[in-house]
Amino acid sequence: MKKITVDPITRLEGHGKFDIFLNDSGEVENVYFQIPELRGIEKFCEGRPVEELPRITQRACGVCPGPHHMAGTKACDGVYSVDPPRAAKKLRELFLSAHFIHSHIAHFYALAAPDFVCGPASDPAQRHILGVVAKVGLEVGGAVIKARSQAQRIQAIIGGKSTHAVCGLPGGMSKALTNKDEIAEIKKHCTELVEFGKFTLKLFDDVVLANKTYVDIILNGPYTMRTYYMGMVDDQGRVNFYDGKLRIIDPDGKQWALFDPRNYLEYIEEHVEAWSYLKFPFLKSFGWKGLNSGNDYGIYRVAPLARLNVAQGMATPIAHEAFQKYFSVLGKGPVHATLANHWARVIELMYAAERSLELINDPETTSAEVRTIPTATPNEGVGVIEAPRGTLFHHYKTDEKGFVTRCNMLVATGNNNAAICMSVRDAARGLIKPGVSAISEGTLNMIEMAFRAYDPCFGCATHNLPGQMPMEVTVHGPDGKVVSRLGR
Amino acid sequence: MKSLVLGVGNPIRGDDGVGLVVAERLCVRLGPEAEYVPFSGTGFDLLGWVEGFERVVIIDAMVDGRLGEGECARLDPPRPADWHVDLSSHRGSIVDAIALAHRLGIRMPGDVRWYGVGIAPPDDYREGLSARLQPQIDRIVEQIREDLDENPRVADGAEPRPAGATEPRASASGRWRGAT
Repeated sequence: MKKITVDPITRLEGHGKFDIFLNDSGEVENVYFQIPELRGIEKFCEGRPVEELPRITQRACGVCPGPHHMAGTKACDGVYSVDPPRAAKKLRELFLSAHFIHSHIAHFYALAAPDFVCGPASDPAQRHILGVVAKVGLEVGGAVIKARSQAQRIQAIIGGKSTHAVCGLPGGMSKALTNKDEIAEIKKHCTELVEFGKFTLKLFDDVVLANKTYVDIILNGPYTMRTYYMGMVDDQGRVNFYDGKLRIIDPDGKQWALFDPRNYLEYIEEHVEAWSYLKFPFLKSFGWKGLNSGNDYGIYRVAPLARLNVAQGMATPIAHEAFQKYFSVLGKGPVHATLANHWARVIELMYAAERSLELINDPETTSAEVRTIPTATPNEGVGVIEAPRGTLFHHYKTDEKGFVTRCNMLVATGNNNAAICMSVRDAARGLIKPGVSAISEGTLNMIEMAFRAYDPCFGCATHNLPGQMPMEVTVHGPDGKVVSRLGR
Repeated sequence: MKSLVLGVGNPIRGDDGVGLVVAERLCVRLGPEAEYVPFSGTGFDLLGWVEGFERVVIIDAMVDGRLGEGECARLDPPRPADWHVDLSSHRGSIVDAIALAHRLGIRMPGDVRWYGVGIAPPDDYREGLSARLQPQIDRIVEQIREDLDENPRVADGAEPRPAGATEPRASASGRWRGAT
């Protein structure tokens, strides 16, 4: 057999590209973040039986298929006008919570922690997950891997598969959780995950909050931006990932809208820019006024920072205590510090673990009644959930036989697209000093921190596989000529 | 030998899914000691699954032009990319995951094998393999099976390169369609 050396492994598809333009004074004039990918999966869905879409649409991404499966399943409920049994809803929420756990763990330990545990301008040869492990202990690395595996195992038990689940059906779930051994296993995992959540909160306290420099960077660096915020809340105004109303607040914290997610098109519109394949959602009533922040512009944010901003609290005790501490340290809210996403993400990790334990201990979750058989003629449905990266919309229309005539997915990273562009632009303006023609690695990393805080998924956002994202940053002089280029 | 056979790819991305098809059929050929897992998550997901296996066989599509369509090759144990903090949790290849496992002292199967199957770059969402590739699957499966028999053990060797020995990813000589 032929042998080939592939050295080193690279992932060259799906380049993200920052173009930074300097003016005559050498200051950053503008920054464009480009995603040179094409959408395609929505078109692929047309003509297919709608009940297949929860399994098809999740193929847009290998990292966040769980939320797509859940949003798609809820959209199918809508298409068939069917209300699933309570056990099915709770199983779906448990599945989604488990997804949040391993997703937030991966982001915090692999992406956020290196900047804070090792330092944002530390030696890049040490500023990565191995550097984190070297500082906090080898056993922590093993605990991280174990906790992620436990959460994925919960997904596998409920969803049939840990990555691309097959459990969601219109009106419920394909399988009840009645096997005693499986229930016991999930309880054990959830109990340990709650402890892991507590450990992570403490780690954040010890490493980030105890370091005044880091708190200053979060609060006072070029990483703050006044925008609107959107997230899902329960009937008491607390964060909920699976069900509830969408709440939008303005930059002053005043409620701007509270609505049934099915009516999202009354509030949100998408703008297209010629330089990006990724659309720019905005609050419809403002009209598109460009990439500007503040009360008069309809740019909003989603994801952990936004979810905590729009909520009155968390629905579980330890997470709620952390929620209160968060606002006592960062201000009464809304928190406009983009890097606070990391802290909010850790609080959500705690919530997801506690909520999972609550759900598995709830006898209703393990009821055998997990399906309401649809009887209505299919038509149109909207499914909305919170994904780790923010609010996720699936909107399907079908003919009377249930074949899809239109599919629209407004994904979390899409919702944040304008804010990501503005955050990177503002960070570049704050960090690139006039007269400097080349960007140091440390400066580049601090610009990237503005981007990384959102944990963007451009695989989903552009609906293109494989969601790999090598990055190239190009600095253009006033004449447009390239003066510096850095690649990842 | 207890083997985990990973097929890597996307089943609705045309020939990108060739690793899934080959791995599933290979698993049947290898018998009850082998377990097939369709793999399309992040590389770090792998770490929770390998416990108890003596061998991991990873099969994926390759688009770098060194393999013609349908041509299959065993890859030298690939080296991981240089460690650095990434931009999104959507990165993180199987190679990086294995290297991380070594650093963390996580016990990995001693025999990790990589096979690539040449494909044309997929350009759209599409179900199933192309008519060009489909008839070649059985031959590819047999090639890999024979290679496993003839070379009973291949060390994975996927330790990361020394920190600081940087080389930009974008200038790499080869392209590998890693886990999605």
